[in-house]
Amino acid sequence: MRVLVVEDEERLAQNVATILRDNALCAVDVALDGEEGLFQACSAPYDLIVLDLMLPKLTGLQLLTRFRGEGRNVPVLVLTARDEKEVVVKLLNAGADDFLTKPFDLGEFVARCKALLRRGMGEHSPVIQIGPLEVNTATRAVRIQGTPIMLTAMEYRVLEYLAHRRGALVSKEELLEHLYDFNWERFGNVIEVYISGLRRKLKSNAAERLIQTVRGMGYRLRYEDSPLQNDDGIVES
Amino acid sequence: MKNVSLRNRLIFAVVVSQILLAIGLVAVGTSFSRYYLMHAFDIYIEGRAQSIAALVYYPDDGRPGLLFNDAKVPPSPHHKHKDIFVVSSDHGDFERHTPGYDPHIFDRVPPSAQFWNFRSDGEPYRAIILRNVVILDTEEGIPQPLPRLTVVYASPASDIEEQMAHLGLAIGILSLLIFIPVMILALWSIRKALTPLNDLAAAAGSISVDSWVFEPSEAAKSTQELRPLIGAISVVLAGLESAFTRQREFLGDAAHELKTSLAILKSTLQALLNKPRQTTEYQSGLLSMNQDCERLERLLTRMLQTARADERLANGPERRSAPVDLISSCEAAIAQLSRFADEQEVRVELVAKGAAMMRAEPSDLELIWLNLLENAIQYSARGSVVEMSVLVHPEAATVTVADHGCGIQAGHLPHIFDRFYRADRSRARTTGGFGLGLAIAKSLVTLYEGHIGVESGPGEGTRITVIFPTFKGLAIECQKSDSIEAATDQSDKSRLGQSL
Repeated sequence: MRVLVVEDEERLAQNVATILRDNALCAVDVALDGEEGLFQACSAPYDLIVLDLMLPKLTGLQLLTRFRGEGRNVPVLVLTARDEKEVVVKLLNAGADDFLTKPFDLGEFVARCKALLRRGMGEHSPVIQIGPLEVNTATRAVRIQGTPIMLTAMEYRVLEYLAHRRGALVSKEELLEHLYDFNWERFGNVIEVYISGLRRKLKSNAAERLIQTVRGMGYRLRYEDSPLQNDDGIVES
Repeated sequence: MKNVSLRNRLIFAVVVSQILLAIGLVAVGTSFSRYYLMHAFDIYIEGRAQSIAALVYYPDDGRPGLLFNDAKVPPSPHHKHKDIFVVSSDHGDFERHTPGYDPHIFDRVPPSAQFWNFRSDGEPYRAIILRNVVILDTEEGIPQPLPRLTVVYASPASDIEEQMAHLGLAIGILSLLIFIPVMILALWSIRKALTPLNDLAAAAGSISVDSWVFEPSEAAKSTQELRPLIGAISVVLAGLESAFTRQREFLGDAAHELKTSLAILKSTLQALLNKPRQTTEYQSGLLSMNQDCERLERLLTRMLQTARADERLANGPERRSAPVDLISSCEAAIAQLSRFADEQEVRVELVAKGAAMMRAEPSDLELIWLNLLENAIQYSARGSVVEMSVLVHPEAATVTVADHGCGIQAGHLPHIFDRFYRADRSRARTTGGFGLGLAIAKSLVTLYEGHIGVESGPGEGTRITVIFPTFKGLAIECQKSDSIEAATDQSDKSRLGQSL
């Protein structure tokens, strides 16, 4: 999951970014003013935008209005120091999904971010069940048929993203875009390394074919009881 | 509290004036008519008396004595109460009177008046007395002196009294009849006249902290008596509204600043506590939190200074302070900022000539210069110079603080003295500004009836000018100290080009 933090208080932005990286395992980009924020928000596929209201150059409300005006549906969490009703109503009407008033609790902030990320993926429960595989996005616990599986942070992030997009074809580029921030040097084969690691750890009779590789296209997380019907590519095991 | 109703008072006034008018009409009408009726009556009885006198004649045959032509006595207009007359000669040999004449009826003839009233048999009478009437019928050979006649004639006056009563009654009834439409008209016009006042009251009543709209009706606006009131209310409201708005904005901005600072502190603390960390991480976290606390402290100090300056400003200009030297306050401010200037690698130069005395608290003046200099130093390029100069004129002192920094764009200039206004927010954040310094300076300058202005352009640097009036009494002190300094000739040189 990739998050954009638009906040002009650099210290606060860094703290928020750190906590999101540590606790929600997200890739986080930071923008320090409104114009930069809008540019970044439009140039990369974020899964969540954390937006401060009082920003230089372009206010948070202006940014939000323009962003939504372009028909973009990324969830937006607004951070504001003002909690008057009119401000909140205006915000929500402009397309904000949630808001937090400063000073806020980082624990609550992370929980809200996770909820928004989930909802952005069309998920309501924090626990995603795909056949024998259970991914708890709140606790980051992964189980196969009840047995806990230990994953590295990056492996978990790949799995979580695939789980959210279960059944759909996810390209390598999409994975890279959603799992890494701008500052990361991207190597094409890192994804393959994580996928093979995941496959190894998830190995069991029932989960053998959970992650499918569609050659030249990407990956798909799917569980089917019946033998696989391959229309769109050759399945590797 | 006494409850006074304008409407009731007006109605009361109309009723009372109507009643007084009716009474006045009756009184004046009756007495006026009474006067004319009496006058006419007097003429009538005088005529009667004259005609009675004309009935006296001398006998044709030259006999002595007088005769009276009874047959020609005019008939009385009243049947019940007859006219009464007595005619007598001053020789005492002749007297005639009405039949059945009561000899005591004219006992109380007033000695001087010609007319008088009396009552007889329950009937009011008016009487006339004619004295020394010459007998018209003159004959030859009448022995001298000729006799003169005295005629007393009385006629019942009850008619007049009756007419008077009728007239009074008629006027009274007429007044009452007029009273009804007049009252209706008065009530209507009172209601109509008070409508603008009621409108105004309603318009004023609808004003609240949330709605400052004061829209008196056209009727109220076009009412001459209400115009000063409307004007006064509008002026007061405009002042109140701007004060409220400013207060609200200040509160909102202050809350924003405080909450943001607190949010940084809290998030740093929670991020630190999120998972076990290295000692160095804890140390750097604690260090930055310490800086956050200091920043918060500075913010609070600034906010309190702002609030205090505003509060004092609300009490009017400050004039009671003892005279102080303007230039030494500048020197004190420069000294206080020497470390900061060193850190920023900026030199502060003070150019001041003579002494400028003004009434002010030294701490206030220092605070003004501190804020102006801090800004100038902050926005100066490294290695550049901030120039502070004091010019003394007979009635004013001008202090300028000029930097050679990046300058301020024209769009920001009108706002730079607004509270919490920052032309470049992101930069102000790193330099630790809150956008309160210039606002505090302005409030304090205004407190001492001074003027503060700014000239700036991008790339040209910024020059802030403060002009303080120096007062008449102080101007003399000023000149005195000038001459002392000229004699000692030391402070000018030391002040000129003082650098840090």
